[in-house]
Amino acid sequence: MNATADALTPQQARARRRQAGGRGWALVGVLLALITLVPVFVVIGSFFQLDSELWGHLRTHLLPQVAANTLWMSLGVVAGTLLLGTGLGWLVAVCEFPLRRFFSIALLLPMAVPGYVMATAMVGITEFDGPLHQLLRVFLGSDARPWRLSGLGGVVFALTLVLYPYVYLLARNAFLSQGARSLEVGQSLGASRLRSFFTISLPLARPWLAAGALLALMEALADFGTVAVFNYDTFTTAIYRAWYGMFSVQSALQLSGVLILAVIIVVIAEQRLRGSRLYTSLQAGGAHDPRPIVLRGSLRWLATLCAGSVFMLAFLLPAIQLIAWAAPNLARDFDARYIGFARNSLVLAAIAAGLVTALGLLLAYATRLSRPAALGRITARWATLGYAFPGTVLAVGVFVPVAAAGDGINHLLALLFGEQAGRVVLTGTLFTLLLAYCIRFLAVAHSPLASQLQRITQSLDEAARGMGETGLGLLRRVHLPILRRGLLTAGVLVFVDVMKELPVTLMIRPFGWDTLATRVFQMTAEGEWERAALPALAIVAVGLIPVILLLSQTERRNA
Amino acid sequence: MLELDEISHAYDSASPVLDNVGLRLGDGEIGCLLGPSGCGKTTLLRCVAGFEIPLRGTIRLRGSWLVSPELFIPAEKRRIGMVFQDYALLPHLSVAGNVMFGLRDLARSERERRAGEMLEVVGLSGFATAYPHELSGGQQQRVALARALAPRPRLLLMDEPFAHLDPALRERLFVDVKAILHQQGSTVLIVSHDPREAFALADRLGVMRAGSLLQWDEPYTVYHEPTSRFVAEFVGPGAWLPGRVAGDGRIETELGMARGSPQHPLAQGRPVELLLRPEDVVSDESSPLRARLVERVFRGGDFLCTLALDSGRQVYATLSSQDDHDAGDRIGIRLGPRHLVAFETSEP
Repeated sequence: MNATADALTPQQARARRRQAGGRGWALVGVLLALITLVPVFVVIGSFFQLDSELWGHLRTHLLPQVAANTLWMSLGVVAGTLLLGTGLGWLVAVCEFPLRRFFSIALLLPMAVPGYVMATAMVGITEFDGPLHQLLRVFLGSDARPWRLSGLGGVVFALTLVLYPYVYLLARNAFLSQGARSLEVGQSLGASRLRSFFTISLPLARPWLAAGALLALMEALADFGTVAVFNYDTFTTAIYRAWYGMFSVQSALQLSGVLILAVIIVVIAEQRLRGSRLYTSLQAGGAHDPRPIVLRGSLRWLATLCAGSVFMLAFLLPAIQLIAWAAPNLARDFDARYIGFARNSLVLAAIAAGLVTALGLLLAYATRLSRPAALGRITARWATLGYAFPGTVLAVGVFVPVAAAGDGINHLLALLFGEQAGRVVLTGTLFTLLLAYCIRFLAVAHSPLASQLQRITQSLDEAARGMGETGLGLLRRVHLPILRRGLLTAGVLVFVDVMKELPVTLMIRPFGWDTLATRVFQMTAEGEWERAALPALAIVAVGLIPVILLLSQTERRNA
Repeated sequence: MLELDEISHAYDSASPVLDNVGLRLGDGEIGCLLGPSGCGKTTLLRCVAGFEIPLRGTIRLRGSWLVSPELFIPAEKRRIGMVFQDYALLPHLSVAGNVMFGLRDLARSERERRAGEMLEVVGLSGFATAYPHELSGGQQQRVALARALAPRPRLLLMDEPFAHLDPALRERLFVDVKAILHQQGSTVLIVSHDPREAFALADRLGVMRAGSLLQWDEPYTVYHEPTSRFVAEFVGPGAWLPGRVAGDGRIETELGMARGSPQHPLAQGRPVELLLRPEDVVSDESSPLRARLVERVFRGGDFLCTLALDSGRQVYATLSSQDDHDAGDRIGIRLGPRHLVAFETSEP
C-alpha cells in the first residue's frame, strides 16, 4: 500500500481533482445552451436588419389579422382548458361516482392525439356529408341548416380537447394532495362545501392550474397543424406561408421574431410559477383518504355523464371516425408507400431518440458536475428552452444559420481549391432536421435523466469509491444501472414526440422524406380525410405509449 | 494503530475547517469524535477515508502512510470501510448484491459465502434477496454495516450511523453494533453529535469544536475530568457554581466545602467555578442546606430537577422518582462530587 509507481503527492491529487471536474463540464453545458439559443438569436437578430419596406407591408397587411387571431385563439384555449381541466380534475380527485377510476385514467388519453389529427377528425365528422349531418338529417329532416366546424370556433374546440389534459393532470394532483383536509377546514369554520371549494381548494390549487394553462398556451402558440386544417391564420401558418408560398425567408424571420417574443413572455411566467409553487406546496392529506364527497342519486350519473362526454368527444369519437375511414380503405392505403412513410418516421424517430437521449445525458452530467455549480444550473435552464419554441420558428431559426454555415464552408473551399472544389449542401439534409429535433426535444430527454441522476447521491458515489470502484467501473456498476429507467423513458418520449412532430419535419425535411405526420397533413390539406386516417391512427397508437408510461408512474401512487 | 498528526484543512483559505488535529487509535478500539455540527468532525472522517485531501498533516494506518507530504493514497486504495449517514445503499442491488459489491477480487462462490456470513453477523440472513427500499431504517443500517465490514477493512468509519433511527431503536442498536464490532475485532472511528451514543460505543472519545480536537481520552475521563469548559458542558448537563480554592482537593462554595480529586492542580485562594453535574447534588433531608425546587422533569427512573439556591443561582440534581416533591418545596441537599471539575474564573 506504500509508494507505488503511480503514487501522487497530496498537491498532485488536489490538482488532478480540480482538473477532473468543473470547467470542462461547464463548457459542455454552455455549448449545449448556445446550440439551443442560436435559433433565438437568429430570429430576434433579424429585427436589427429590418427590411423596412417588407416590414411595412407585413405590418399593414398581415400582422394585425394574424396577431388578433393568435390572441383570440390563445384566450379561447386558456379558457377552455382551464374550464375542462379544473372541473374534471376536481370531479375525479374529490368526488366518488360510477366509473370514476376508469375516467381518472381515460381522461388523459387525448394527450396521445396530436392537434392536427384531432382537427382532421373533427372537420371530417362535421363535413356536409359527414356522420353528424347525416344524424341531424335523420332527426330534423332534409331542411337541417348546413353547419360545419371551422375558423376560431373549430381551432379552440379541437385544441381544447387535446390540451386540457395538461391542466387536468396538474389540477387532479393538486386536489388529490389537498385531500379531505381543505374541505374539512372549511366545514369546521362553518363554510358549505361549495364555498369551501371556491375559498380554499381553488385558491390553493391556483399555481398548478396556472402552470397547466401556461403549458397548454405554449402548445397552442406553437400549434401549426390544427390552425392549418381549419384555415385559421395565426403566426405559425403565416410563417409557413411566407416560407413556402412567398419564399421569403426574411418575412418568415420577422414573423418568427414577433411570435418568439410572445413565447418568451409565457416561458418567463411559467418559470416564475415554478418558484411560487414550491412555497404553496401542499401538505399531503394521506394517500388513503377516501373521496370526501360521495355523490348521490342523479348527481352521480351527471358526473359520469360529464366525464364521459368529454372522453367521448376528445378520444372515442375521433378514434372511431379514423377507424371508420381507415377500415374500408385499408387494402388501398396499406401499400408500399405507406410502409415507406412509416419507415421514414421510425428511422427519424429512432435516430433522434438515440441522439437526443445521449445529449440529454451529457447535459444532465454537465449540470451535476459543472463548477461553479450555479453556471451548471443556468446552462441547463437555457439548454432546455427548446421545448417552448414553436416548430415553425425553430425550422426558420435552424435553417438560416445552417444555410449561412454551408455558404461559409463553400466560400472557404472555393478559396482553397478554386472553382472546381466540391460544394457542401447542409440545408435539406437529415443533419439539419436532426439538429432541430435535438433543440426541440432536449428538455424531454433531460428531465427524466436529471431526476434519476439526483438519486445518485454524493455518498453513493463515495461508498462505491470506498469499496474500490472508480471511473468506468463506477459508471458501469453504479450509474448506468440506476439510470437505466431514465434512459429508457427519455428515449421513448423523444421517439414518440418525433413521430408526432409536424411543422419542423414539414419545413426542413430532406426532399422525399415524407413521414406519417406529413402524410396526414398533406391528405388533410387536399380534403382526403379518409386517406389521412391510417397514418393518423398509427401516430395516435404510438402516442399512447408515453401516456401509459406516465400512468404507470403516477397511478401507482394516486389510483 | 491509526495515527493522525497535525491535520489542517480548509475548503476556502479564509475559514479553516480543521486546525492541527492529532490523535491515536489502537487496533481493535472504537473511537468516537463528538461535537456540534460544523465542528469539522465529519471533515476529519472524510480526510481519513480519502474523500478529502487535507492541506497539511499526516495520516498513518498500521504503520503505512495514507497521507504524507510526499504521498496521497486515494480512497479506493485505502481498504477503509465506511458507513454513511444515509447508508448509501445501492438501490438497484439486492441486500446480498450490496454486501458483495466490494468483494470484486474474490471468486463468485467465495463472495456469496462471505456475504452470507456477514448478513448472519448483523442478523439479516433471511433478507439476502430483498431490496434496500423494502427494509426498515434499522435494517438498512445493518446492511450498510455488513457491506462495509465484508471486505475486512483495515479501519471502519461511521458517519452519524444512528442519526436517522428512532430513539427507542437506537439504544438497542448501540449494544448490538458494539458487540458486532468487537467480535469482528474492527478498528472503528465514529462521528457523532450525541454524547449518549458516544459513551455507549467508544473506547476512546474526542470532543471537537471549531476545527480543534479539544480532548481525546477514555470516555470516563472525558466526562469526569474534562480539560475545558466546552467539553464539560458538551458531554453532559451541569451548572457552574462560584467558589474559592481552600486547599488541596477542597473548594469553598455557598453549598459548603466540596471535596474530591481535582482534574488539574488549582492554586490556593484563587476564585474558581466548580462544575456540578446533576448526580453531584444529593438530596439529604438532614442537611441544613436548603434549595427551592424550581422545576422537575420526569425521566422515568428519576427526576431531573432545577434547584434555586438562596443566592439565586441554579443547580441541577437528579432525584429518585420515589422522592415526592412539588415545585416550590424547599429541599435539603448536600454536595457529593468525587471529581472536582473547576476552572479559574479567568480561564476560558
